[in-house]
Amino acid sequence: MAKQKVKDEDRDSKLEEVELTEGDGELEPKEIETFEGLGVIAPICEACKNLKFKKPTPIQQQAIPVALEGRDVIGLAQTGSGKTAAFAIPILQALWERPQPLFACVLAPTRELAYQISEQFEALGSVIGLRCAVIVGGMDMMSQAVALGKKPHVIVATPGRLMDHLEHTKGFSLRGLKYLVMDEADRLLDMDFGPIIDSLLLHIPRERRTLLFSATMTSKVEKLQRASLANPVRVAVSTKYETVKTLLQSYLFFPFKHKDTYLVYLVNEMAGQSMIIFARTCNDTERVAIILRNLGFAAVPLHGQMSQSSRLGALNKFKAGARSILVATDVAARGLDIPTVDCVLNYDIPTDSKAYIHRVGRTARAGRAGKSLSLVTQYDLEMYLRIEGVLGKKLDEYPIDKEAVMLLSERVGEAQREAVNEMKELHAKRRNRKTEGISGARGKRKRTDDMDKEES
Amino acid sequence: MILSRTTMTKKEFAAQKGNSVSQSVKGETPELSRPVDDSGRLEIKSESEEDTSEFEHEVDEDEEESDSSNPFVYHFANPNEVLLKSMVNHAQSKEWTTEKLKSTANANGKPSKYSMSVQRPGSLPFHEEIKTSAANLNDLKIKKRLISPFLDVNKKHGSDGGIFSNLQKSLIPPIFSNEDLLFAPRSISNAQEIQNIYSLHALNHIFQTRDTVLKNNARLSKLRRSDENFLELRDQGFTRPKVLVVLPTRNACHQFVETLIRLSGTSQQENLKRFKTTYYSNATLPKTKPEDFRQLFAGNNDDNFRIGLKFTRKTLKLFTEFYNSDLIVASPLGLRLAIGDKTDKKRDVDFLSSIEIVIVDQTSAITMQNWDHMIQIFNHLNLIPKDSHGCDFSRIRNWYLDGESKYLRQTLVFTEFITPEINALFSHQMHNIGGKVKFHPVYSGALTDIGTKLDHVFTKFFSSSPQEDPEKRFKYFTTKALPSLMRTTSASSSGTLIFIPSYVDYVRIRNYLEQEHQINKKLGASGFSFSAINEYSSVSDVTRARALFKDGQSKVLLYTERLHHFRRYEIKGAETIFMYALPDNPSFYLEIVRFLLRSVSDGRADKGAISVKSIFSKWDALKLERIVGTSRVAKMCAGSGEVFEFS
Repeated sequence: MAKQKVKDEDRDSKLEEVELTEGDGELEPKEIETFEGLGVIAPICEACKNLKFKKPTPIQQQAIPVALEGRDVIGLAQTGSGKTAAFAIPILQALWERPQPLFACVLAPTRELAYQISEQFEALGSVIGLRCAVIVGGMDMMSQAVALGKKPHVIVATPGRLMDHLEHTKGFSLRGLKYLVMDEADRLLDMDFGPIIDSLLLHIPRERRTLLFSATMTSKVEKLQRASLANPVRVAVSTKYETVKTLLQSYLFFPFKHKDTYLVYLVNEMAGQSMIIFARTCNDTERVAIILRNLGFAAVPLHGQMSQSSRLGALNKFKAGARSILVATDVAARGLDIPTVDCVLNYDIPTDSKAYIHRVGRTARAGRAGKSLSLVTQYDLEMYLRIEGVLGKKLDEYPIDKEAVMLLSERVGEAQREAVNEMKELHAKRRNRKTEGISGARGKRKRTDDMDKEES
Repeated sequence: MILSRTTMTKKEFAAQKGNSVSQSVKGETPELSRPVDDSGRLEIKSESEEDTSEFEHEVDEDEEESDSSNPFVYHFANPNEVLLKSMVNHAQSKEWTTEKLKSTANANGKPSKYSMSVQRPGSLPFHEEIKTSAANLNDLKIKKRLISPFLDVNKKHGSDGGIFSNLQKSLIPPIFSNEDLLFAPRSISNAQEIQNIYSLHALNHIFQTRDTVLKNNARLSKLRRSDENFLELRDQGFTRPKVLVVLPTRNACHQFVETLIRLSGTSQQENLKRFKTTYYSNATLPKTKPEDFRQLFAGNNDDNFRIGLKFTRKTLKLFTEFYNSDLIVASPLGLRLAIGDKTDKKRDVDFLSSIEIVIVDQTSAITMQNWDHMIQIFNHLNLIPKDSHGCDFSRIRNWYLDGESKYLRQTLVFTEFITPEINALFSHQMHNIGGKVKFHPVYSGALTDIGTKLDHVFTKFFSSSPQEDPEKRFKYFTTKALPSLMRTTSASSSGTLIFIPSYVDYVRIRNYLEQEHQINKKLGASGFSFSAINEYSSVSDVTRARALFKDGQSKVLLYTERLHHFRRYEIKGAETIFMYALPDNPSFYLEIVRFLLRSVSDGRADKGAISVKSIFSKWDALKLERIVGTSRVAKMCAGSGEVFEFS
């Protein structure tokens, strides 16, 4: 049973905590086995059944009743544990009881995540005739304005573009909004998004419900105050930084100059499995993708400098299985739910320990197994140790035959040289496009990214 | 249960707010308000009266905006959402039910001059409830301020002591119920009657739209003060222009604007002087030319223009920027140039996104211009714009946002005759879910108007599809018609005029004859000389060719329909006329046949020797009907006979 205690140190925001450690819930005979038992109305239960949600996950069990009561919620649960449904269901139910256009707004840090959330909303809400709009950057403003003009019930948005519409799209306002959700809330509340969230909140009424969800949550009260919660309940299904038990984590330690060689060796070892390789920079993702492609692996890059249509294209190819390797920056680190991912490879060690939790959370989702591998070089050691510290455990070293790796070095070197040339061409193209883009109309740039084109 | 789009209807809003704000809403939308007791009703009345006085200077209060017996409300402002969706589905999948209306006899017992067919989407029973009757102006739900100017302007057309002429009475039901219309019996004699009616409709539409917007502006600004903005008032499109009028020449535009000025009752017009200097000219044409030619090409006959018009309470502004206009008048060419090319970077066609009424007048004259422009214009109508142009998205009607506006647009086409192109426009570009009506005249046939005895021979050739028609025609001409034509030509002293409507066919035949001529020359056979003139020929070329033909130095003259349309020459020296295809304009048939009579009276040709020969296929039924008459055309096209002679 959930233990409830009021934390003294958070007296400011009066955080009420509902904490639940995983083992506890399962042993508890009173565990609620059905959505009906949580007070969810029949049509939505029906939708859950259609989506093959057999029973509520722990976070759903805890968060849904509280949210249905109309409280503000801070939800903390491991990656892949059904957080999206945990906030979607109470919102849909509230909407059902009191239908209203522009009822709820869900903010997400990345565009891909926004699309994914809206898919979930649509799947759950189709039975009650839900209309949902996705408002993200990189897409046509006009068609989004038309979508907003139709007054959808739920808007799923990235903060920048939503602000853009609030300022420039006449006739659109959020003054009637009843629910605000921040998914990956710690990311949205941190420095990058902070100012824009502040100005967004000026456009949203104070009398609203606010739900914050993430796998990692900021502990700083002032950040939470940014979201101006009213008497929130904290629902935590795990201690702060924890990875899933079904995830097998390991690391590899080697000199920096052999990094690409080791990567290629590992990719080759795991050929046929679906994996995400995380790199630090856009440039690196592109370079790594090219090297892998030159060596005959089906790799596709995903980063913030690509056009939105190529981003979606790349992601869809990976999801559909047409490409087995996604090379991405941290843009893909949070929230994306791709059930088939077998392995996460950290090509670069994340600079932020939270990012690590989210990255490896792309695999081993919803009870499945998965593994993660971090490539550690002499320069990454300090960061890596800090992550181990946060995780509170030492990871195993991945067993590897070093001589076998070195056999590949010649081929990899060749591929690297080729990649350098291709990168040069790519940059030249991009420069041209940029100058074109300045003279041409906004958003009319031609799509010249051929990174995710079919190979002939 | 499904969450409906306008979950917060005026009704609910009114029900929630029991204060004066809601009552003002109720007052203006009585059928939405819930039953209230008598005292409540009294209160409402006084409220709405106050409201009207507040913005009376801007708005006529002569109609209720949600009065569903008003076709404007029924069709545009507040259509039934469920019905709309099902109708649009039918229109999208091209399921139309056609009903042929029996030609009803006129009041005075004469048989009707036209047949009517009505098409409506789906197989739903035709809804008759909004059929507007033409009995009196009040039934048409016309803005009050338009009534007295109209009575004044239309005075001379009224018949039987009524306001309208008989023609107008038959035009009013489809036009004022916002149905599509293809009206073929237009002529220079009824042009003004028709223009009065469609101008009245266009003005009424613009004023209704504008008044609704102004009224809602006032209502919203009042609500804003009370800090409530859940009221859904959807009363506009993406952009302001609501009516597009397509006319062939500046002179026609000038005439139309004159009619508008008189009908609108505006006391002043901005930029009228500029309009006069650029659109009006008092140039007249020689009396020797036919009447319709003098009408069409009189004054400023420039076919490249476009102009925006904007109405305010008292004034009509000409030359307003398109995004600020209520009405756009343009020629196909002028509008096409404004639309621009696909490769154009600054391309902007958004001003066509919210057109609700398209009027094309003198369409038959437009077919003689570049018809491709018309297709381009219609392809660019009612698209979702690329830029918002500062529109208020919360007030755009739902069917605009859903991209369904082309299914509500009303298109009115007035023409002197129907061509296959116009028919294609009717079936492929007119999607109005309100239905579409076609008026097809009953022709007695141009042949009957000649007045002199003359042999007309029509020979049919077979072609199985319109696509292969040109090929079959060419083959028939070169193998069958031409040899015998050459025999008669070489035997006679006078010439043969070959009339070819299409320029493409013209070039083909000119090249063929040229080739034959060269071969004959090489063989030393006695060839014959021919000349050819078309709409692109220079005046001197035409003069030379006509002179040669008149003198008999060239025995054959090729002549195109467009050349005749633009110049209306009289060709002298013809003894035989061969029509490679019939002209679209039946009066051209008459005028060309009269060349022969002229030859006879000049003594150049013997009365017994002159003849008119034409070839046709069943795809020429429309053209043929106008020449031989409605009663004969079916037999000629369907029957097995090949040669038909009229004398």
